[in-house]
Amino acid sequence: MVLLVKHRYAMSWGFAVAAVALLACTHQNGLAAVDATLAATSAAAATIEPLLLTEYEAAQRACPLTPEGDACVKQVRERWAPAWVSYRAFRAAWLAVDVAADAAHDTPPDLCPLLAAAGDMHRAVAPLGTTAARSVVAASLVLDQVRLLVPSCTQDGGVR
Amino acid sequence: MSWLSALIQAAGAAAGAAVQAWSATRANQRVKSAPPPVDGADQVDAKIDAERAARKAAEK
Repeated sequence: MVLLVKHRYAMSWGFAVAAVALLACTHQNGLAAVDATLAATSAAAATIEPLLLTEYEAAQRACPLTPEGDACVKQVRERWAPAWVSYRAFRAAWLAVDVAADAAHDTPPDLCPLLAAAGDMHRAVAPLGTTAARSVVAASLVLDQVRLLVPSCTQDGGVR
Repeated sequence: MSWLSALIQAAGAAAGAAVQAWSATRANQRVKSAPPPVDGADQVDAKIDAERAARKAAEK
């Protein structure tokens, strides 16, 4: 029940801030769009990352203290490994845009790598099928829509 | 032409101050979104490993 409430909270909050990003992207000021997208990313990650970690920990705790349990822990980690790899790449792209946005005066930093990393994370996390994974997918789908509004981004996250 | 040079310098200084003021305002208004430096997944793995080792040792 608690997870369901948290999930709904994360979803609604993520959608709200992402809607702000979408609106800002249609605005002429590119810096405003970048700031709004970063704010949306921050808000979504602040709710979703703890959920992902809680589920990851719970999956490992469910394994017994036997040799089979050791194999079970290993399997959990292997199943989650692609998700964490993509999440680390996403955080690196996020940090790069954040640093560039701090230094920006009139030229907005390129959002394409961040939006592409969000899409990659969506594809890596979705197969887990957990509550938090569904929140990640929902948030990433919204960021995918933002990407469509950034004319310089190619499908694979590059720059035209 | 010293007046022209002074005028250009003054205009440049004013423009620089305006850009700095705008930049400071923008930086203050931005939501700082830098991701946390810690890796939560690694921390979970280390915690689980330590707990399992401690419980196994206690059972022996």
